[in-house]
Amino acid sequence: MFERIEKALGTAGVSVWNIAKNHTRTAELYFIKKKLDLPRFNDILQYEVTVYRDSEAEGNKFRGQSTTYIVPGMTDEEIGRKIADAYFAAQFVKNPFYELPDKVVSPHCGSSSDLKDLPLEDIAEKLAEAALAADCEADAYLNSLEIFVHRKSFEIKASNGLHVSYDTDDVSGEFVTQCKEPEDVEQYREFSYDSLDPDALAAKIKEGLRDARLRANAKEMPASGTYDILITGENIPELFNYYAARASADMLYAGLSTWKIGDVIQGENEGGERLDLTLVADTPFNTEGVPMVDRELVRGGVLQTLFGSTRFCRYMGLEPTGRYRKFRVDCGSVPFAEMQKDGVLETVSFSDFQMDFFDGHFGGEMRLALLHKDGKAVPVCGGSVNGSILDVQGKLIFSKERYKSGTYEGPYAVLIPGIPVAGA
Amino acid sequence: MQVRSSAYLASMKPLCRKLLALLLERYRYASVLAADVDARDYSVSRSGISVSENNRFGKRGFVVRVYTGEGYAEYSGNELSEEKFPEILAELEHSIREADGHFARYQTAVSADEPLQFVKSTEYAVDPHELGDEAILGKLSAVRKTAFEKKADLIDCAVRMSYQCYHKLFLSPKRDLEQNVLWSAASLAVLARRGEEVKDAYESISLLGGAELLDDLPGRLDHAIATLEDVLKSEPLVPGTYECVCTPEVTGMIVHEAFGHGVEMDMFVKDRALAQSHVGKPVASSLITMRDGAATGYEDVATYFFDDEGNTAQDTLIIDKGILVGGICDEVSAVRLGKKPTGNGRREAIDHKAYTRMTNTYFLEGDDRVEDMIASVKDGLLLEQPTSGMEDPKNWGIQCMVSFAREIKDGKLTGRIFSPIVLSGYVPDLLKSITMISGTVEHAGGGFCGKGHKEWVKVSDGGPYIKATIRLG
Repeated sequence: MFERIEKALGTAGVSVWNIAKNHTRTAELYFIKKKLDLPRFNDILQYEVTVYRDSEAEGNKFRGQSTTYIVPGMTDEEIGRKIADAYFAAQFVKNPFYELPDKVVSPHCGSSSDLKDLPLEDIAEKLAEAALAADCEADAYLNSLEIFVHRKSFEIKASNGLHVSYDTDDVSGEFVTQCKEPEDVEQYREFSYDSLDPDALAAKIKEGLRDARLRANAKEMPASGTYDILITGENIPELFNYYAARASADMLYAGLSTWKIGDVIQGENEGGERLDLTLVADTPFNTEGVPMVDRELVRGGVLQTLFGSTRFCRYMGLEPTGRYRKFRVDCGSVPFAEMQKDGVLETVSFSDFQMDFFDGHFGGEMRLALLHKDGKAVPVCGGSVNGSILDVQGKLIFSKERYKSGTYEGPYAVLIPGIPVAGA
Repeated sequence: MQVRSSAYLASMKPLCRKLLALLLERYRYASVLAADVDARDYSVSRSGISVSENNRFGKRGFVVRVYTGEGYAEYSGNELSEEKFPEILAELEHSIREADGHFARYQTAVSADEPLQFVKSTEYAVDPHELGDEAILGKLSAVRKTAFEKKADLIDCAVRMSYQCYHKLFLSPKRDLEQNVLWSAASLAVLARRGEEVKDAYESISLLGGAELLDDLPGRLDHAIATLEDVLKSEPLVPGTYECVCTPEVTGMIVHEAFGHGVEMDMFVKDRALAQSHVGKPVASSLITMRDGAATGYEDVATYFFDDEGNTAQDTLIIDKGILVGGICDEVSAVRLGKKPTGNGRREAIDHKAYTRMTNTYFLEGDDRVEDMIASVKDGLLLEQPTSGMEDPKNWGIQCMVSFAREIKDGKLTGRIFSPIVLSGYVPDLLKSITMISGTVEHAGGGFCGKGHKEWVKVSDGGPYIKATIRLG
């Protein structure tokens, strides 16, 4: 297919281009309680073809681009038409000129995951068996489970001779736990791993069962007021994403962030802990063929680097780094148990915890929280949290305990003081 | 003009028939859904100009579904040829054998597959393809330029248009269906800085049709800028329970997120929806009647003729004068529940499972005047500009976010603005508290709907202005 696409590019007069082949095979299992609802298998092969078109007007140089997708079964005529359409569109995209990624030629990078050694269906089965085995408690149980095992193969070629290829393997999914007494309730959880770790999934299922039981016993919502709150587990990446989003060249170029390397982006230290955040490369290259490496983004609350796609990095005078979907945050020194003080509202799950990267406001409706009172953790539910990271970032306390998922490694809990809660 | 059929699907139909015949030699029931999609996104913003195909929701390919005697299995791909048949059959068989060898199946009866044949297409006035990239970008750029002429200190005015022209073919032993559908959506967002914060306001429009919707976009600019000016003056809200008037957009989010997800009947099958035990009971004020359907009177981006399981689109009554009548249903859930499917089995794309999904969902109109509704509020808020929401079918909790609220005192807007706002509470409490409802339904399909945190499909929602008591934070 590469040859057919390259031939069509030549026929259309396209001299600058990038082709990213993505072949994804996915095994999926869907369960309702302990019974298999549906097995699915996906096999999708596509070629993402980006064409570039340069022009000049009034002394300004422009580079436009447009992307089209080529899939198996397309005739040469159709491929030619799609590329010609994209090239035609690119002439109207009058963006300032920028240099594309440097030429890189690299041997094939195989998957670094231990998942690569097993057939996709076997991985799905091992995870499902671990999850179902963990579902063995009397009062709470697994309501439903979805498992997705992805095996992806990428190959990227560009008109400047760039040629790289790599494979990745990962799993993701979601499950719901249910407890019917004293109140019929559920808890929703997501998971993602880049290695075969049935034990981690089983442990997460156990936590979900525990939380469903707690939620079933949550009779009240917290009183309205201001609380020191704990954000935990899978909601934490959303909180820290504020820093990653605002340090991206895309946001800087768009004028949505004004950060510069060396800025104290965590505000003044008001008795909290300083943020150390590292962007983690989970693929060897991005889809432009830019080599991805781990990069220290924030050290001691101070911005160390900026990152982003090639176009916006070039515009901002930065080295193109690619975008990142995974990051690591250094843990703190306070044990989680010490954070659970009287008066603290420990959030366990939200309907959808959200951070607004534009203005730093975060919040959501609490599906389950634990109000620490008189040495006890009282389960509560309902009500909402609505805070601003700008008001509290100098006071954040990070737990000593670590949480790990396919996209985040870092403190299991973050203590945020003085957050308004709308409750009873 | 009517959307034309896909030449690609026409050429692939004999191959799909052959594959179906092969599958039916092995399985009691099989179906093939084939899709061909032309989807394109345009944007003009400070980040630059962009024109590209949208591949996330616009994949060409096919889905095979077979009945194994106990339940269903699926294979989806985008390479269909006679040479590929043995691989498809082998992979399907392997998936079924492996799964059945390890796990007990959720027993499901086979689909009814009542005979049905048709070819249908939606209509449009302006074909975006014919209008062309240059003209579309020109219209978007003109709106952006005007925005800066009206308010020079904007950080940005991002203007976007998307369209999706999709063609689907559904074949089963007794069904042969084809549909050709075009929808379009456009939006503008204006942004300005307030210290470290960036505040925004947006307008979005959508329709079942083509680029003719761009004619309405310039007229939305003044309202967006006025809204932004208001949001820039906003202050934090003291959390509490307030008497609220909701704009139709906010009503739409409440309809969709707070109640609509709870009547998706695949959740009934899983025992994940409280609504299941409330059918026939009051769940809302008697002023409330709610409908959902791809064949409702309100055409929008989720209008179609058959769903992704080959069932015809319908117009489903969900709440009738406050009483929950029933839900919406995909094919497999309908079989399990002993119900008829309502044409709501939808996939994000061919490489996704079908779930019960909403389409065009809305509350019907009442007979109050908006000015009377505001005048009736002693101390409350007018809620505007929804941003996101999340369903909780099991416990009917509410999480809806809106950009801002306008203060109402003694029946008048005071000019004070609060932002941002989180709505929470218990769905029936909110719906039963509705005391006034305006006379005109407005609906919009600018966004996408997820099931939980994934499976995005295009939907529209809306309703009239409503007055209700809501907990806000």
